[in-house]
Amino acid sequence: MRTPEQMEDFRQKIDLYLDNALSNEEVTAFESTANSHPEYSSLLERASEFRNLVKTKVKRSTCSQNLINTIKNNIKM
Amino acid sequence: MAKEKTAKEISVFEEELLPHMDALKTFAYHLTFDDDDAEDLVQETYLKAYRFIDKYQEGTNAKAWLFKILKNAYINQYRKKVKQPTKVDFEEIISYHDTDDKSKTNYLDLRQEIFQNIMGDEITTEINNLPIDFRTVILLCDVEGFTYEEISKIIDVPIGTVRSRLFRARNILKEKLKSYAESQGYKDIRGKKKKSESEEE
Repeated sequence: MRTPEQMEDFRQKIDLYLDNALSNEEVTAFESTANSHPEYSSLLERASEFRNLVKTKVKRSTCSQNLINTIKNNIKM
Repeated sequence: MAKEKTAKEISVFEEELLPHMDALKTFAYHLTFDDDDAEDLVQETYLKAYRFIDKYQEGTNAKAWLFKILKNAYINQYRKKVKQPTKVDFEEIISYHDTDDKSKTNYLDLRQEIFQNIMGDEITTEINNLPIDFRTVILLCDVEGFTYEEISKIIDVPIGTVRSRLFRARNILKEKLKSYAESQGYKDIRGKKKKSESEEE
């Protein structure tokens, strides 16, 4: 069982890890910690899944051919 | 009189800038909530980028440059004339939330079962319901994959502010999705389960 302080410290690093904001050394240390206990790895897995959910499910738009043509015509490509 | 573009500048425009049209349209759509306004914003962005193509350094971050132009175009034009995107007072929210102190806000951890109850429409709806600056950082970071530093430059705020907005935006989003999942019948039994187990003992 991790202490609340340990869990909080790990939680704060999850965002930095998933946002690619850690240095190579920090990534290695973080992954080592994540693999050291099921509570950590489970927390990371859920956070990662949430990110993936947002990334894959958000509505994405595509430009109409009319817009593409308009832009190209305006700059006379 | 506008300076004639060189063949090299036109080539850079076509090869480095045009491939980001759909990403820009997605961002513009989530700012304006209107397909035509989003296309107008993308068009304006590319016309400005073309006009100032001599300021762009080949091989640098074209996508971030375009997003910054689009964000500025949106602020300059659309937010003034288009209906208010949120019902919440924007400045009030930002001044309240823009601190880097996360200690008073708990990290919200969503259970995996919640994910199974959420469809794409709810994600989009709840992102669109976020106050605009929270929505912006989610779109730039979680959807488009920009780094904190790139986002900081695109929206002209310190990196610490980017991080605190992201932290709060994600927590709000999780709260909303949790509420939605609960309205669909999902129950978070954490804590309750442990309590009932101890009562049985």
